[in-house]
Amino acid sequence: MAEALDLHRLVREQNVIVCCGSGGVGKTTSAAALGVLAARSGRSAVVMTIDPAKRLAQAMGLDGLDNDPQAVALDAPGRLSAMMLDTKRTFDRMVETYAPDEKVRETIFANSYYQQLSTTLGGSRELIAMERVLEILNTGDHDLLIVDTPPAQHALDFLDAPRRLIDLLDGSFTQMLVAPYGLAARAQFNFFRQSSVLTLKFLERLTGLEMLADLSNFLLAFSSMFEGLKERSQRVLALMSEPGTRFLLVCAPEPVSLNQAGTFADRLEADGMHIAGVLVNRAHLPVPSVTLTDADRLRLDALGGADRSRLSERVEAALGDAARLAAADARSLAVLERLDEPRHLVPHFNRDLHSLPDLVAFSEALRSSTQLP
Amino acid sequence: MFKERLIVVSGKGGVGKTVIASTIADLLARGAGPGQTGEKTVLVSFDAQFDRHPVFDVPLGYEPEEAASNLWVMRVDAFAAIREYVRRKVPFSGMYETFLKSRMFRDFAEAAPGFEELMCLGKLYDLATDSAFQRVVFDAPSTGHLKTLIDVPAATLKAVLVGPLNHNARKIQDLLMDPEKTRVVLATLAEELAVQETLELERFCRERRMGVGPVIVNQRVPDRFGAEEIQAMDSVTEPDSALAIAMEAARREHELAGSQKESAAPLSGSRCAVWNLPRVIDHEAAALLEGLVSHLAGIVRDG
Repeated sequence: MAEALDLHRLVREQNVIVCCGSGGVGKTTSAAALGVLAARSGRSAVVMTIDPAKRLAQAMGLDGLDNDPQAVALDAPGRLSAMMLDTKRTFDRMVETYAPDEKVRETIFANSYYQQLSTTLGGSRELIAMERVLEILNTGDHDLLIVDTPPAQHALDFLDAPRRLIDLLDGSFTQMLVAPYGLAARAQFNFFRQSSVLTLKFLERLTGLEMLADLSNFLLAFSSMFEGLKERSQRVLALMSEPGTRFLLVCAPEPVSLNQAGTFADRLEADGMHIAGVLVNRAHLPVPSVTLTDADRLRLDALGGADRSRLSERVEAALGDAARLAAADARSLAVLERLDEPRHLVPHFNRDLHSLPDLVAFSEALRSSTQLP
Repeated sequence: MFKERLIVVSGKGGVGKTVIASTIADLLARGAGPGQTGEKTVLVSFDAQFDRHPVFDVPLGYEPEEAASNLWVMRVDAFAAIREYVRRKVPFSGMYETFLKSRMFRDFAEAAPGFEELMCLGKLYDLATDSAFQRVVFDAPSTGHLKTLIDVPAATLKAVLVGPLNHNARKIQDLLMDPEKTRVVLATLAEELAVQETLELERFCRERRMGVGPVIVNQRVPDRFGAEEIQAMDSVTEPDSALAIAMEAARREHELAGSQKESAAPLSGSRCAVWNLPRVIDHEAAALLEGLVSHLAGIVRDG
């Protein structure tokens, strides 16, 4: 059996904690509760979420989350701030920083593709998230940053995003487009001309000329930021593999979610990243195997409502369901055996978490050790 | 059950969309109402993360795979959809095979906003308009991603005014926006955030005049106890006894049922019918599906 995951120690010792997992496993709430735990341990922590989780902002006593960290009114020795990633604004800022001149900047902002970029250009949102992580760390105002990764269809997108964008801008496609349709024809692309004429004819046929012209304008302008982006993305990747950065795999005790955590762990390991462990939310804890006596049943039936079926039967049904839920969870958790990562179980809270006290209660569940089924 | 040929199932991540979509597809394939014969149905997803279907446990690929009687499952990936499209649009497309596999083309597909999505939707269109399948159940991405997906044809129409892509986007748009042909089914849990996303997706669909509903609430726990019964049990103090353990299970279940009721309350603001599916405790996918299908059949039968 894997060792226990000490989350209290994790928030005291690390600089960056990246929470990853599929949607609906309580990732955002876990990130917030870790932040609470960190602040209560004396650290100055920032929780960065990507989802517009309005309710979470309210739980932290904020009207809404902002692109810059806002202090949460938490009575603790340390400090807790929360922020929400504003993709558009961060992207704008990135263009402003890296565009070589005013003309390029204007071209990018005016291009119709730029508006859609954050949602369509593979992984650009993830790149932005990482860019923002660097910005926050560089301010030096906080000593722990907890990142709630986007609920990506492919949870690994944010690792690949920087490299993918660089590959795209550096790639032959961009260069080919830039040559015949671009703002300026560059001599070095002559090499491509012959084959690219055919290729472009084909793409035109597939899509239409205007689309290609627009796209090439955009990529040409964007590729002028190439050096800056490349340098930045290398720093992001370096930060991700530092020992001070830990990945926390958040999941629910369901086969699909647990399998995904496994895939994720394999990938992180292959990339030389550091895994903190597995946090399993909403676990159904084992129920002692007990049987009611006839005397117990009689006592219960006497307490039941007059116009209802026997209370003892209903109580026993609830007991049976609780035991079967725990057994089902235990069977699902067997998937984690091969991982051999430290893990921590948080029991099912049986309710939605609405408020700062709820988050504090959650953070207590993160601190205390829970018996594994 | 539904009259539309294309049924889109979406909801917040983690609510059990795949299970609900599978249940609907299976019921359509078996025949939903009394005397209703089963229809040839295909269950489609765009999700690349599985190689086997998580419910039916058969291989998932671009070719439909028979999963049950009258029911096929398949996964549409952008590359295969693009290849099929090219084969149809461009004569002698065999010579482009190498090119389609090249990094240059992959870069293009990735950089052109919405291109891959449009190609996948194009395949969905073909299935729903010109295939041997009488019903197409789309196990769609979660709400946020689905909204982007639904708006891809309109965005393409704006960006590309003429040509084959424009033509393609137009017909896909017409299919998705036609409430006679397409219906969006909203899957949720009785949890606050999931309910909120459900209502947002409903609003999104109504703004576009799309067919929408019902809301299917997954994993409802039974409300087996009255508040006064819980109170009466609280007065029994017998620490660590079998009775105490059993009563604690009852108390926790009552608490969860109450929390679910409260979280689901905003659904009264929905204009859709609300169907509740019970929590089925079984990790064997086949048994889980069987339980849900018979429950859903009951809802459909009783109206």
